[in-house]
Amino acid sequence: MAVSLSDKITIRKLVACGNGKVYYEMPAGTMIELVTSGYSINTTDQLVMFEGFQKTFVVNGSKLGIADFINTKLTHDPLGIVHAHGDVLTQGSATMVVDFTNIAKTATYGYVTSGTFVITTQVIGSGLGSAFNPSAVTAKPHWYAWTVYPGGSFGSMPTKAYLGCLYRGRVVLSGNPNAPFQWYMSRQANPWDWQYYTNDAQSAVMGGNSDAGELGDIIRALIPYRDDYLIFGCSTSIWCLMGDPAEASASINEIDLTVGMFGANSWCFDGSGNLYFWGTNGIYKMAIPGLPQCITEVSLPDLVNDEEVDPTTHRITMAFDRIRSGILIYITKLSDGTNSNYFYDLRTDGFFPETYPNNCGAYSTLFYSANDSDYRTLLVGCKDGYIRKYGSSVKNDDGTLIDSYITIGPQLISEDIDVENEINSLSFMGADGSDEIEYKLFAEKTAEKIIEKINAGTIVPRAAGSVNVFTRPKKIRQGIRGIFAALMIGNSQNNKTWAMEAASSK
Amino acid sequence: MANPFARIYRGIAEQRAVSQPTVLQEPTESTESTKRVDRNLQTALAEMRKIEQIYAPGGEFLKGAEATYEKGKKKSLAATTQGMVSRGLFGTTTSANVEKAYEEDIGAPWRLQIEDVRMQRLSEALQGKASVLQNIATIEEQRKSFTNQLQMLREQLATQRQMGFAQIASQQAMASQGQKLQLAQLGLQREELEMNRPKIRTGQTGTFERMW
Repeated sequence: MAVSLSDKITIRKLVACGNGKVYYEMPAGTMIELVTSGYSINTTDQLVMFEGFQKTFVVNGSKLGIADFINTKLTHDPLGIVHAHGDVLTQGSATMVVDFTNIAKTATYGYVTSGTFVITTQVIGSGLGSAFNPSAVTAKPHWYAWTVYPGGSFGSMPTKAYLGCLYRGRVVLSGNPNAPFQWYMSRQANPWDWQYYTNDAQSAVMGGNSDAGELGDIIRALIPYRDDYLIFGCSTSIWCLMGDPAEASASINEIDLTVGMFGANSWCFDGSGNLYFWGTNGIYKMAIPGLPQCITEVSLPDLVNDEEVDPTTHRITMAFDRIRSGILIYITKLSDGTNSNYFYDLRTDGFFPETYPNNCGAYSTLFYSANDSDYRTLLVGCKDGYIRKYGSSVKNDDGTLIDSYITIGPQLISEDIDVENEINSLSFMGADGSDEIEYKLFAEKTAEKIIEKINAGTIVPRAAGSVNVFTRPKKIRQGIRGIFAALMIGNSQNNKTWAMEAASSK
Repeated sequence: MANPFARIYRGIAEQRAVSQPTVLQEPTESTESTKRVDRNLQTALAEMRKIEQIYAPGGEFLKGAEATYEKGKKKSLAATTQGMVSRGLFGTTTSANVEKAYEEDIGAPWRLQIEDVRMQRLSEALQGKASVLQNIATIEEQRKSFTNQLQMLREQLATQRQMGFAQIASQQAMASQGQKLQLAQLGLQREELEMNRPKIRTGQTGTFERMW
């Protein structure tokens, strides 16, 4: 028997917003504009996007829009009675399940289940909706305003929102400036229905996170974890919704009443389901459910003050890079793109500070699980409007030289802290493919003095130079004297890269 | 010698004593009984009206049931709200929806049930009232029938009485004629005795026995 195999795959598309426009990927690796005329977004304002129901929901203050990648649009004269969400439209042998009708009742969007819809032939519905003759049939994708479903009791959406996510089949909004402590959830599986108080398990729900009688903290981040938990990262506290708020088994519990979150995108999950976020006193790690632990408390104890971040002027975005097994923390000043970033290596628990050119300042990040492996990587939406990715073979940051270094130490080089010692030689073992390695050796009587002077750039190395270590370990004879010593190695030249296996001193 | 007419008249007199007073006194006793029955019926009707009012819309039955329901509702809402507070959902529309949910999930079925009971009881009360009213109608009919019968009886009695009097008069006439005949016979006998008697002293007279 002949066996015919054909792959069935889900197609992922990248959707991005920049310069007041919406773009989507078509074909792989190429972004084309989705026409938003008539309902433009404002990318100078805060903007959050999330996907659900084969659509991208754009939450942009007073601009709430949808990029629809599933439905076919039928344009027609204003309907007397709109077709209800879920009704089936029929035109000959063509059928469509109605998803949405615009407020003007002049466009019906639906998923075509069979046949092809054409113009001028009457379309009838399975419900009470008026029959119509389409004047146009438009294929996906579409862009339209996100509103409540017209022609019925579907409540109202918040007039402004800056936060959004999908949780348990409900679209969740928050960040309403008039009620920043409030969150809003649509009816389950119906992002057009915002009618609260309907007393059923799928009803739209609105609420806040607080002890009884209190107003609640300002919500800064919505973090859904599977369909089980929704974390509310607030200004000075963290709350967790377990289950569905319309069900009797649900609960909202405070996770921490002393630690808050920075912003809408200052969090990410690693591959083990741990949540990392920029919080009140640095970077935190938290299992869900669990308590947050500050992981910069020891290594970067004054991180928050050092970075001087302010939610009104800075954006912090975080992402898990599953290829390099680390967490990237991007701190970008929105006005000019100046940035200060960290790579947290999950294998070594080490923090590596990074700075990019201002044009490359990160506004958004996403690990894109693309169908095409060429694009299956961590993407960074940059200040200049470009989407960038990390390349292991390139030796500059989009034309700008990379000044890369590490500092080993300071370390005690004597047997007692009051007795000086000498280092007479250094040996380096370079990695294959590395360019030359630049080194600087510092020695002082205290460790703190070395760090202060390195950070201030005022210290003169006792020994410095560069070595080519392509073939075999290289020994350098240079004597220095001190109680503590530090070794800085790296490369600051354009189009150069370096890697090292080991270094030793005597 | 006993007077044979005396027996006849005594018979009529006895007949009067037995039948006439019984029939004549009946309306008097019937009126009392009617009043008593009417009073009982009115009392029964009043009781029925009270029962009807109890089960009528807005009646005591619903008021009492509503009070019990409201008490239960208050306790249930309080318990549910406490649960909401414990689960952190107090500040959500789910919590604000508790009363509506209670009304829809418990109140509406309860109201249907209590309305069903109320209607059933009201129906029973109305049926009871209808039954009493029907009894009243039956009694009225019976009373009319009885009155008619009584009237007929009276008429019959009157007729009988007339007939009785006529008979008595006839008998009296007959008796009068007989008396006359007897007197005539006695006169003859007297004359005969007068003729055949030893002479008696003048002035001695015989006597007759009084007949009545």
